Amino acid sequence: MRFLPATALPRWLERLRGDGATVWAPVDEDGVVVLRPWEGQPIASRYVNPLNSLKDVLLPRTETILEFEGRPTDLAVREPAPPQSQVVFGTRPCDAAAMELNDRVFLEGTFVDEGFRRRRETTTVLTVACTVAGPHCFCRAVGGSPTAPRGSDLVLHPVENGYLPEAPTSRGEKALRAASDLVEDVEHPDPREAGRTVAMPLAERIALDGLAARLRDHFEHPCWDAISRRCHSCGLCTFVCPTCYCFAVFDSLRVTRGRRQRGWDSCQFKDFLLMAGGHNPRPTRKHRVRQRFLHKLCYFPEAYGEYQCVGCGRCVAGCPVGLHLPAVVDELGEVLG
Amino acid sequence: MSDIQARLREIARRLLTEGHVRVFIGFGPGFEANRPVPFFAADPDAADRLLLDEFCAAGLARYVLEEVREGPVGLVARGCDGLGLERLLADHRVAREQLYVVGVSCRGVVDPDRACAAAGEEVRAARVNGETVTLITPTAERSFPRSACLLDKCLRCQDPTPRIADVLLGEAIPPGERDLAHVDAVERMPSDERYRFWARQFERCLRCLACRQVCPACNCVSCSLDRPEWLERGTGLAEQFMFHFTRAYHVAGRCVACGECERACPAGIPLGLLNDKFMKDLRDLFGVAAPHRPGDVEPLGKFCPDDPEGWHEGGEGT
Amino acid sequence: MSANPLVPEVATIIDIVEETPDVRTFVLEPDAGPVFAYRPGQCAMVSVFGVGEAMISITSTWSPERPLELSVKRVGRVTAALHEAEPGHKVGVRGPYGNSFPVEEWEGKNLLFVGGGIGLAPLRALINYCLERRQSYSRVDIVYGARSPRDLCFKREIFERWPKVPGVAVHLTVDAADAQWQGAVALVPHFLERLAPSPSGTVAVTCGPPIMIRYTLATLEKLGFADEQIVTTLELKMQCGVGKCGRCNIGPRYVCLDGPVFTRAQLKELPQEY
Ligand SMILES: Cc1cc2nc3c(=O)[nH]c(=O)nc-3n(C[C@H](O)[C@H](O)[C@H](O)COP(=O)(O)OP(=O)(O)OC[C@H]3O[C@@H](n4cnc5c(N)ncnc54)[C@H](O)[C@@H]3O)c2cc1C
Ligand code: SF4
Ligand code: SF4
Ligand code: SF4
Ligand code: SF4
Ligand code: SF4
Ligand code: FES
Repeated sequence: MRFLPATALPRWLERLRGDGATVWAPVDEDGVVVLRPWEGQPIASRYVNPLNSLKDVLLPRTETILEFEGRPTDLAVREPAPPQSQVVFGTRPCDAAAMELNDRVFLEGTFVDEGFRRRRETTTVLTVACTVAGPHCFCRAVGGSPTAPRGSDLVLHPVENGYLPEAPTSRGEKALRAASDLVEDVEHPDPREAGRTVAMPLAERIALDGLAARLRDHFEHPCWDAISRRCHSCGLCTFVCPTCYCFAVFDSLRVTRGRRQRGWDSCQFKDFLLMAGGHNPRPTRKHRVRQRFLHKLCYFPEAYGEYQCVGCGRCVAGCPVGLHLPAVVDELGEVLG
Repeated sequence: MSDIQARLREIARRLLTEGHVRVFIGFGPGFEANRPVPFFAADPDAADRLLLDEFCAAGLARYVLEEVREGPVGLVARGCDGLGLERLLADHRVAREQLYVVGVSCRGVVDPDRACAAAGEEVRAARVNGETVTLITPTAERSFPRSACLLDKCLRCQDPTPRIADVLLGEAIPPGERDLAHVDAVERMPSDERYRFWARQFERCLRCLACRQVCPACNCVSCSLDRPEWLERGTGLAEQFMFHFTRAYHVAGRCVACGECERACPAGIPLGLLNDKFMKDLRDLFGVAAPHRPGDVEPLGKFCPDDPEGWHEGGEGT
Repeated sequence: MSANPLVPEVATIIDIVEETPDVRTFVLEPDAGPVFAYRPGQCAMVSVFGVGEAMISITSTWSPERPLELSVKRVGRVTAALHEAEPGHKVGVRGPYGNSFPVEEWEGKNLLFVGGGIGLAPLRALINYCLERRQSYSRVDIVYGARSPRDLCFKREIFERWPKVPGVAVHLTVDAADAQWQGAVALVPHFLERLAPSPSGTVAVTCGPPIMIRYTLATLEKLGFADEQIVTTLELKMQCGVGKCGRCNIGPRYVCLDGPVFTRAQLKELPQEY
């Protein structure tokens, strides 16, 4: 089995960066761990999940669709240059898995989302497996594991003084080749096994079996009033979530030059569905909170066969009023049985 | 707190039974024992599920905006909630007779993440004593300094007792002046360093608007931050600065220092520091007490015909 | 054409027809190559560069040499900017989006079209499509109403062209008449109830403001139309039009992909959230 010493990490990432890729890594910024373009800063080592998920890299907060210039009668429209290749180091297995959920939405069906596809195909995901779960993690309850390779190009299993790399894809193998002289051969039992024994108390508390079907029959259930009542209709839970993907399209203009962008939007915002003329099909918190949870727990599983949640725990840590996925599953379990 | 919790339940039950209020807003059990959540008791029996302990973190004032539409509202209010309510009253968003305020004097709220980190394991209960906090875990009971356990907003709190309670549970604690010393450090930074400091903070912003949605001062019916003609929707650094300056300016002189914005922010952006900078300027330039308490002079928020600086004659809006 | 479905083609406005005080029909020609092929009921995302995009039903019927026609009611930012535009101006168009009317399934049947206001825009595409294949369909009734006579769209068609086609009857009504108006004065659902078309062998297609649709559906039910015989279109806020932006879902269905055309039977399967 191969072994990458921890001390070799910066050199390896530096080489990947030297190949022209933007390298992202978790860095500690004023006590907050954030995925940032890496330029040699110290890489955070103690974190559960960075503030921004892999979504911020593959489906960025804002992305230019086109640029235009000229007068209304004589206008030049241009598409931006394709994104350059990227390497993301330090993603957790849940975030990597989330991108496979997003693949279903963006790459399947009548239309392929070109912006997402291009980024996806030029991004190498170097995941660092988890040896401990955070207090809010529950990946195991939604089919994941702290060492699962799903969605990753390379999984780095932390062991003493370094990592055991496992390359599920050729993209990952290629990234590892840049470290071929840094890697040693060692004897070690299958590191994936370690994932089974990681303690994850939250995962044990979540019962998702059959929930999608029960929710389908209870669209009008009064419990949604009580569940949603404390929601402040912010976008926090959906913006930190690696699997939430809603976006808006908007233009900006400076005299004769402008661009069209898309950017994150949230079904929790009051005006998400507000239409010209004032009609709003989801006017209350009840409507909006129900949309979020039915999308994750009912519509998405109906379309793709799995829940739209990877158990990363960001909504658990983030919602200012504790209205997160495990809490809602728990409350639903109580009323729907 | 348990004695106060019992009295709170009793009062809420009576208010609901007698129909004085349609709903009583307090806290109820959350998914995790050390994270109670806002709870809306709509019938007398539900009052028995109200809970009040050292972990009740969320501000409640903002809920009143939505809840009063259907009838009078009762709620439990700590000092910060009380100031938030005063803000809504001063802004004429709710009327005093629509509210029944059960005040409690607050000694500070425990931040479960901070406390668990301090104790090194799950903290199930806590006692806030004067300068120390006792954290109770399954294996031990130990005391820590306040700064290692409490929410940031509580470490700088100056108004632990609400001023507008209809009934006050516990002893009133006199208000203090807000300590704004932490603003000095940023003011002293050379301007390029200060720019980098704020740029780094604002770059992290997800634009989730949690800071606005929880804020009792951000109570406008229609917000300029939602209007593309005022603020472009992009998240480039220019837009991030614009967003944050707009938010901060719009609460300047109105912010009651309840700390909810900073508590809610997932990105750890020191919104309180920015708010406090404005508070400090208002104090130093206009002599406004920090924080501004609704009813005080409002140098930025009020049209005053006898303004000491006079009004520009002949221009629009004079 | 771009590989990115969110990137529009640039098109030139070659003509603007003032239908009513707040509805204009824009005739568009793509700058590069022919108009994409589309079916009646499908929509296009039209954009004013620097302002934004709006989803609009295509009101023309497709043929390789015909320009694209979109009838737009002025309601907000993008639609206002379109109304400010002049012939020669460049706009963006992308599409076609959405399902379409199942016109093949209707062959041999009577067709009843019930439109209100700008709701005639998608119906116009459908009506002209069916009239171009007149022999494939039986009797055609067009029931159309607007707030006032000047709010009636496509005046040349409703007053001149369509009534002249054999076996086609056009029934017009307004909510409030003016001095010249000779026709019926009634809300569309009431007017329809009085006309009492027979449900036998008939498909009813209705488009218009939500409130009109609601009452029209009730009237059709009263007249004996089964849920499978009633077809309507839905409008929900849209951003991408291609099933990605998460905006336009009603329960598990996305209006931009699975709609906008639904039978009443299909609507009853969906949560009432539109
Ligand atoms: C399937 C479909 C077909 C339509 N066909 C027509 C038509 O033939 N003629 C016509 O005049 N109008 C039609 N509409 C409505 C039209 O899309 C809206 O009136 C238009 O988007 C309003 O844009 P605005 O910028 O002027 O309004 P604003 O209120 O400024 O809207 C801002 C943004 O919200 C979205 N939006 C607002 N209202 C609507 C709405 N009702 N539907 C969809 N998106 C909305 C748009 O993305 C718009 O850019 C249709 C809508 C749908 C969904
Ligand atoms: S659930 Fe929580 S995070 Fe999500 S919108 Fe509501 S208050 Fe904000
Ligand atoms: S719903 Fe919550 S736990 Fe699940 S993936 Fe999203 S943020 Fe993570
Ligand atoms: S939960 Fe809401 S924001 Fe998230 S993907 Fe679904 S609809 Fe979009
Ligand atoms: S809560 Fe924080 S991340 Fe969200 S918009 Fe406000 S400052 Fe930005
Ligand atoms: S700005 Fe922040 S501290 Fe000030 S009133 Fe609003 S939420 Fe409270
Ligand atoms: S408009 Fe984007 S999903 Fe339908």
